[in-house]
Amino acid sequence: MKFERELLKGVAPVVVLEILSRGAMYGYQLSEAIENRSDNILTLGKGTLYPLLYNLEAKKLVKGKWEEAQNGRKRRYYSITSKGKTQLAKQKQQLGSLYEGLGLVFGAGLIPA
Amino acid sequence: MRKKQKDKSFNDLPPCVAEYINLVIKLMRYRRKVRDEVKTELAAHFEDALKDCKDDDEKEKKAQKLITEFGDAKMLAVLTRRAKRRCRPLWQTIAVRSFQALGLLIACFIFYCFYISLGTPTIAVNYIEQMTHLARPVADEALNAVPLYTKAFELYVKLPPLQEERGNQIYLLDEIIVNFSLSDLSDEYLSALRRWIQDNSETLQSFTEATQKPYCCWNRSGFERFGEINEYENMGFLRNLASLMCWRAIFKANDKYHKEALDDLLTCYQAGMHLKGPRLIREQNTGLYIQQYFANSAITILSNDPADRQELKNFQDALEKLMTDDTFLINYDVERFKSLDFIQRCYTDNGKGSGHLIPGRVREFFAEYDRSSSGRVIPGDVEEFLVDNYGKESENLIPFLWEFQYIILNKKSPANKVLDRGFLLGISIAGADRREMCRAFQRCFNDLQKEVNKTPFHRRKESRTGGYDISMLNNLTDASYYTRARYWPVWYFKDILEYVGETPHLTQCKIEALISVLGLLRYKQEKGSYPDSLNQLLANEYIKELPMDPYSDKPLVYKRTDEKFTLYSVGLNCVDDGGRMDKDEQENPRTWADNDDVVFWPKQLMRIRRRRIR
Repeated sequence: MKFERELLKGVAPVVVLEILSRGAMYGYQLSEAIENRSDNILTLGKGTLYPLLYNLEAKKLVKGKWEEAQNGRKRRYYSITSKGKTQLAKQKQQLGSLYEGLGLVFGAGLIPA
Repeated sequence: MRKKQKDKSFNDLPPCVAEYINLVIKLMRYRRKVRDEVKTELAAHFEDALKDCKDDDEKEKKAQKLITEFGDAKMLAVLTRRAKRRCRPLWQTIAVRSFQALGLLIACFIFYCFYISLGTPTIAVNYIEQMTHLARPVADEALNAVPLYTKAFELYVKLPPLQEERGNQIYLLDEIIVNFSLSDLSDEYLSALRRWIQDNSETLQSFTEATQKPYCCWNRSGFERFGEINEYENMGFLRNLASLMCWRAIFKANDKYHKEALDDLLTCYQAGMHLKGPRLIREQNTGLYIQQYFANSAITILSNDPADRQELKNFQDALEKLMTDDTFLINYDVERFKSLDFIQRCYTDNGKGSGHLIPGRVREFFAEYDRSSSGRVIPGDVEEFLVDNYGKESENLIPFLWEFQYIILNKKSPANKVLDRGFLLGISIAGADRREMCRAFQRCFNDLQKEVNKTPFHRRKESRTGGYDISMLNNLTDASYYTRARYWPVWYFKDILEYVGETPHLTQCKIEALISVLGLLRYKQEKGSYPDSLNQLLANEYIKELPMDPYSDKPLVYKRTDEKFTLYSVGLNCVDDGGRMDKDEQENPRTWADNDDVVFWPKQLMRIRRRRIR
């Protein structure tokens, strides 16, 4: 599903942090994981994914580490940092409140028929 | 090698992927290491995404789809660059920003230097016209003495260098001056001098005609150099001609033609008058020196064989008449205009160059010290200048200054040219601007004009050194090195500003002493003996006023001894040493030595200086 850009912009970092909180991943893996876990609803643009990862790295919410795969290809594995975990918890709480608020406003109307 | 590495990083990826990634990396425009990492990461992404494709066709199609998902290469490059920049550690950001700031400053500085270099002088005021107006009372060129002086310069025949053989050694006779005793000169030398005078009879005729003209004013076109070469040459010629005229007078007197001799001397005095008043300092100083030649020669003639009382009276009357139109005070107006004209020719006036000294004109300031034919600065002058003005510790600067002089005046290699430009630009930027420099010079000249009215005795009472009290220079002496550096032209021209020193007072004193000697000789011829005092001479109207000593602000010291008399100044130490005159190693009297008196009568004749050359 194609979301409004601005709508996804605030959620994308939380989604990435959430996925990485379950284990370190490299870019392609992360992209696949987001699609799989959201049942292809959340498809983060590939051109957005890498700049997003670099931004999170700059904020020290994730850290990257180069590792060599069996085929000799080097991959950069991203893992969540403790600061990232704290941030994730905070944002998850905010999202919960947002969801609760939206539910109260929209009622059943928020859930598509 | 790099091509191979590139190919390896893309492995079996379709060409469109390699092309896309390369484009992103190229557009990123960031550090190589970061670009390589992003390239590896993107290539790995594509490789993982395409690993399940069965054939190349499928791979190509899927790659195209992925590229579409990645979106515009430029956008991806920009977002990646921004994100990677944020990843930089703080120290790196500070370092980069510092380098950027430094680069910006350097760029601004280069731009500023370029801006300064573009400046051209603006001739805003016609100082030359103002100078000419002061020096030339009437515009009638037929009354100007310059064409006749120029004719005399052209006709002038130099005195060949005279050598003298004594034993096995050869001596070169130093520059002739009129203080020499004729008896000390060999026959060969005397005949050479007579020949020199004879060869220059036309020269002296033209010189005499020139002195009859009411004014003397050289045409000027502007002071491109502070010390114009013509200025030095003209003044040098005039001194030579005056010296020649004095020698002719001495020889004429020796041959008993007293009237003609004294007339020649008066001609010489008039030549000195031509150069005084509102003129350049160098001209006024030359005028004063010519009048000193006159006084020395007159005393020489009178001491050898005084003329009869009527000739003496005529000479004294003529001299006193000339003195009424003469001045012994230095006039700085023309020199002030010259300096301001030079400044406006060396500095820009706002706009391009922002009022700075034009780098290409810096050398002209040093030209004042550039007197030797080789074009090198006279080293002694600069060393002395440094030690005098910046203290003993500045001797450490001398090796640097030598290099500086070398670069400034003898630029030869390209490296020197670059250094030269750098130096000149640095001097231009560090120095005060045109307005500040004009104000500084104006202040100096205002103070100088007040100072020249004070006698040396007056100045010695006011200050320990007895030097000129110029507030601008005094302030600079106490100022920081930075301020001194800003006003270096003023500092550099300190000696030139004080060039005349005490010469006007000394000259006036000599002339007044000469008039008194004339009165005393006449008194003796008429009354049979010398008077008891100068007041007695004054009371009997042999002189119109008492001769004043600038080193005591009292009349000159007169002492009568039997059938002789002594007339002297207390000299530079302002103390009466009883008429004692110090002597140098060649037994010649030391004129204006700082530890003795200056005796005008009896005449202190000098022995000729001989320099051994072989």
